[in-house]
Amino acid sequence: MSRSVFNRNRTRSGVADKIISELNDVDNEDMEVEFKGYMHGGKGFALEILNLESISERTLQLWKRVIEGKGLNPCIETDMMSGKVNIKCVENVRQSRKPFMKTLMYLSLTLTFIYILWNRHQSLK
Amino acid sequence: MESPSVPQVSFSKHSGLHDSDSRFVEEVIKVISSLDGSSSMKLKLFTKFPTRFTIILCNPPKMTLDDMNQILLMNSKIISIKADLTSSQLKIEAYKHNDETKLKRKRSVGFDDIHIPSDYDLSMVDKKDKKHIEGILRNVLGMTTMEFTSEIHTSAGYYDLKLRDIECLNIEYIAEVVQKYRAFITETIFDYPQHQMTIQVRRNDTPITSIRQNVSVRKKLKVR
Repeated sequence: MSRSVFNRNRTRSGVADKIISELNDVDNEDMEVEFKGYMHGGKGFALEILNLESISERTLQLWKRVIEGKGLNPCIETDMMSGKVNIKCVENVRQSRKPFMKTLMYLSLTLTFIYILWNRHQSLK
Repeated sequence: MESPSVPQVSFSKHSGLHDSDSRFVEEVIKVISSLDGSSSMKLKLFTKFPTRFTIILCNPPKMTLDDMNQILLMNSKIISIKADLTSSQLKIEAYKHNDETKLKRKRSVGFDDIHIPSDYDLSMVDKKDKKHIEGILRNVLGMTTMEFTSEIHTSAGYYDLKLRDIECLNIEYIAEVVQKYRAFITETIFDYPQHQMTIQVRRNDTPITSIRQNVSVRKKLKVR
């Protein structure tokens, strides 16, 4: 008996569709952009660009800007041996305010102890 | 008893490869060609880089982890062996002959051990087998970043964990997981024609018949 544990989601999101339509390059007219799938835990999705003959830094920067414009973080891996580029579009993780709060707490504690010590020193004079 | 015949492989000298590297490529093809279903296999070689070369075998046959380990033992300069089941490719990357690049000491490979997402259905697994099945899945999830389709085929003594649409897998990572769960994982099959990987996991109430031993990479011999 065979039962499914998990089925990979294959439906493309609206954001992915928009990015796919905006990624192009004048030097590679035959290039194809494919949706590879989603990352574990809904952290983002991956795209694969095929049939690339050459790739310039300018094009990569342009693609980065397209993805960043949609509020995602691009992670681009080029594999010119196979003429393809893998792009991982990762959702921006909001920085937690907790580390800042902790620093503030330690700083205020240190200042309080310094003040107590200074106060004691003054009273002994 | 007749010994199994070695397939005839003729490999013309490649301009970017030293004789010993060409011989290694030839031997790899011989080993894989001896397996059933290797008739449609194609070879691609990338030798443009100055220090390393890549062998890409397209449409290889069904292979076990032991078959992969055979390749690993054939050359001490292998950097990585990767199985791309989606595109049916086996990629072997190795250092070129006489390359000055020092081989790094092999360290235990590390990958994140991530939690199983809540939408994973493991209701078909017995309570006493859940711990190791979940452990194996956690490790596979940790070594990949993309979602993949998984399925469990249950039988009286074993569970067949079938993974499809999975990204390129490093054989070293798989071997580490198999070693970690060696009391449970009885077989690991890379089924290229079916584009899936099957991990056979023993049920806890099935007696152990054999335990896999870790295969160590062949050490480089120094002749003085």
